[in-house]
Amino acid sequence: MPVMSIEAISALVAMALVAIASAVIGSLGVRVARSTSDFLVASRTVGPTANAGAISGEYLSAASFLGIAGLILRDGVDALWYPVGFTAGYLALVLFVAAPLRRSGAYTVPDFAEARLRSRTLRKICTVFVAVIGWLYLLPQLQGAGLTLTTVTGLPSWVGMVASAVVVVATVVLGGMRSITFVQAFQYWLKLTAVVVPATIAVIFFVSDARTFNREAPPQFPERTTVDVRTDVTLQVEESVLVIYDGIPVSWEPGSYVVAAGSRLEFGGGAKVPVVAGAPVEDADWLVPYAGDREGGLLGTYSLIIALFLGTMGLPHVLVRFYTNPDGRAARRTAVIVLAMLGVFYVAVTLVGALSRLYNPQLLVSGDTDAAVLLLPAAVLGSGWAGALLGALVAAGAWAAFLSTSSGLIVSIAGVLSTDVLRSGKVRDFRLAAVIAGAAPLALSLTVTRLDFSEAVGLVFAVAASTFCPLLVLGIWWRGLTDRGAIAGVLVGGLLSAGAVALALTGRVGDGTLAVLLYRPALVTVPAAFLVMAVVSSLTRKRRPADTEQVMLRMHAPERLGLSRDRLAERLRSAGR
Amino acid sequence: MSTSIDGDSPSMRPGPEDDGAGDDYDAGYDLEGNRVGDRDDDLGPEDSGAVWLHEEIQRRIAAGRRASKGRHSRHEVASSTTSISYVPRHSTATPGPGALPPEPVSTPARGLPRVPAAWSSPDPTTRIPPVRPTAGPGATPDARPAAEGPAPRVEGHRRTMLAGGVAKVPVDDQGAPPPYRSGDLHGVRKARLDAVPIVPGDPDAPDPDPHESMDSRRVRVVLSERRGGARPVRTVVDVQEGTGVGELLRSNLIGAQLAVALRFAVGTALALGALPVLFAVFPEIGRTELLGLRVPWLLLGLLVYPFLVLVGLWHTRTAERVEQNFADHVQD
Repeated sequence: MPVMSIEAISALVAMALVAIASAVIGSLGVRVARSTSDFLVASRTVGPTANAGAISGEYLSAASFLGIAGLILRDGVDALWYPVGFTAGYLALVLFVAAPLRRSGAYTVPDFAEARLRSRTLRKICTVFVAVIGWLYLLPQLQGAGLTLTTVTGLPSWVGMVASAVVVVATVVLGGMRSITFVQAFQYWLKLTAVVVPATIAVIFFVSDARTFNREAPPQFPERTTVDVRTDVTLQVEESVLVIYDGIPVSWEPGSYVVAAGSRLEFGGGAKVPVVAGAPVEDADWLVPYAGDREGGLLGTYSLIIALFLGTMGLPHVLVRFYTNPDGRAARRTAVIVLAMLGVFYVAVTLVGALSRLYNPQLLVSGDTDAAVLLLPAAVLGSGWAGALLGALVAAGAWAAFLSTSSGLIVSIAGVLSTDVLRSGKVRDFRLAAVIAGAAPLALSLTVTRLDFSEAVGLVFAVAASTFCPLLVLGIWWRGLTDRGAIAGVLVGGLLSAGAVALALTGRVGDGTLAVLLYRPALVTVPAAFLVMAVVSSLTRKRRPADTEQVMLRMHAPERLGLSRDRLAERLRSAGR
Repeated sequence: MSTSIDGDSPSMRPGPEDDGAGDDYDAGYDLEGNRVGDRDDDLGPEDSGAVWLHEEIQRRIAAGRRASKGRHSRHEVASSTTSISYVPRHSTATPGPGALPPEPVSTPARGLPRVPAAWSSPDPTTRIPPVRPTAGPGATPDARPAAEGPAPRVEGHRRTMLAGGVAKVPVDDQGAPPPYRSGDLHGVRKARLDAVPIVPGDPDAPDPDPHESMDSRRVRVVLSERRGGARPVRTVVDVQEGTGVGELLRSNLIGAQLAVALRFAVGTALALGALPVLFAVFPEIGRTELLGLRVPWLLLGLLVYPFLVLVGLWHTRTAERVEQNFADHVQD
């Protein structure tokens, strides 16, 4: 890839513009907030639509923007469970958490835990898991930034990781993200545009083309293609293909080949595409679910669905947003609007991923399927100015995806760290916490091998689903929960799932059922956490907090009964007016 | 109460007292929820012992059942029920029914006590803040015999109260007013009190001090508080403080909401969770085309999103209705 082509420059400019626009919107928002006498109450007046935009903007991370299309390109219809699960997680949030959590008045999970169960210990444990989940979630974001920079400019990926971590931490530290709602909402619409436009153009090209997916053959290179392999890959070849391997022409017969990192492969136009191991080779297999003996299969799918469906409610940066709604009703409505916004986005992403198989098959060779969205514009429109412009738009969208999620995560981790660990409300400590919150995952991202973004995010969701989901669901709906039970359940679920994640991250996991469960532990760890929590709570029945009934009532009773403090403040205000 | 999930929001108030429709507050859903302060049977159930409590529960269940039949069928029935349990208590404190012109159906100004226009010669004593005195456990033992006395007409009785403004019944208190109030409730009550101007020099006007108003437990003020909103009604106190009826209402609310949430979750989980098995067991599904797309792609790539949105919308509506029913029961 040539360094600093027109595409590269325009993409860099676009990414810089996104960062500047976010900072400007953020600082304007700060000014607005400061002119309002009561920042907190003002932030509670965020309406459902604006708040839904902010939540969607924060939620659609690099994994959603880049990763899902890449997985669809590689795994086909089986990968559709990722966007479905990411979206359905908000349904679980609507059903079980949104309104009661808003009414509880708590705005982080540790806060909720203490308000409900009156236990400092539980609060500390939850703090630890907020940090763990946040850092694990930041990992693919940083790597996504690295990949984006590498793909569009050719710079090494550590440059992108470091640069992006610095940008995000600096933005948070300088306070530009305080009016995070406006910024996030802006970034949602930017991301949506950056996916819908290329998807639409690609669909137009596809319809005018006579190509089809339904072929009993591997995909073909549309034209002469050069592939740079950046990590070691194992390729499956089903039909013999001519390849120029580091300048030497060879003929690959059917079988599997290991290509070392740093190699350069050249294929002629119309050549059959070798596909990375573990993915369906033929287009016809790619089209149907569970074709062949695909990795994971049914077990993996169900475990994934559980993790995504139940993990969303445990994400620290998502829960904070619901607190900015005026009341529980608005919180529910917000979550429903989020469902719609995510749906629109993921339909477009699905299109991009599927069409990438026609236009960007070389990604199947290099294994860098996460770059599918970034490369689609050039593949469809060519390398002219139109392709460069569209590429810049997409790069800006990827950058927005990365920025919004990372800053949301760093804000929530730093908030928890500064209040619960550094124990002071000083701004200086918050800034220190923000630096820590950004440095830890950066160090991790520079050392561990990169998983597919969606895979990595799936692991995070598994941890969230095994710890905070049981805590929230049982805490909201079951008066029998005790602090001991909650602690036991969170620890069991958290250690099991985090242990599995750690094993999976080492990359030394074999095949078989155990490997599937290590990669996707939710199927075991979520029921285990629920069970432990319920059993231990039943055994420690006497430790139920005395005010359980009042707290539960406040969570479930509609605001008009006047049981909640926030509502009171508002009504006092309107009475005084 | 759980029976009223699918029905309309119940309103167990006497019909003629219906407020105008224009006085709902922001949310627009509580047109029927603002019947605060004029229902005697909201008085502490605990103060009359188990029999009364049982009657109360029966009555509420019956009312809830009626409420599920529809808006028009329930007014008369409900009001008659309410009248019977409502009136006699006041008969100990008020001169009697039928002495005054019918109570005007008015829409009082927001937050201000106001004498209805049709009522001639407004007495200053009627300008009473809408204090809703609350009785703690063990209060008003004298309410019990009255509750079984003959039942005069509701209107007459109310009118009497209007005329008097305040019907203050001496309470032979067994000790100090209940000391415990949760901070919340206290705050809310105080807020309401502060928000309402008090006419000075009115000897009968209850003092806004909560302790004071607790002493004059039998005070009823019917004017002005037709508003919904965050008002600690007697039943709200019940609900919050774990009295019998409160307990029932509260567990009903949480149970009903949980049932709703679980129903939707199980339905969605079955609908989505069946797909992987179906795809695996019947591979031909994956080869079937519909609208030019393979069925799994059509389902998972497109149709699942509107499905999820619809489920979310439907649940939101259902859950809000449960909440409304709860609030109506509590506030009535």
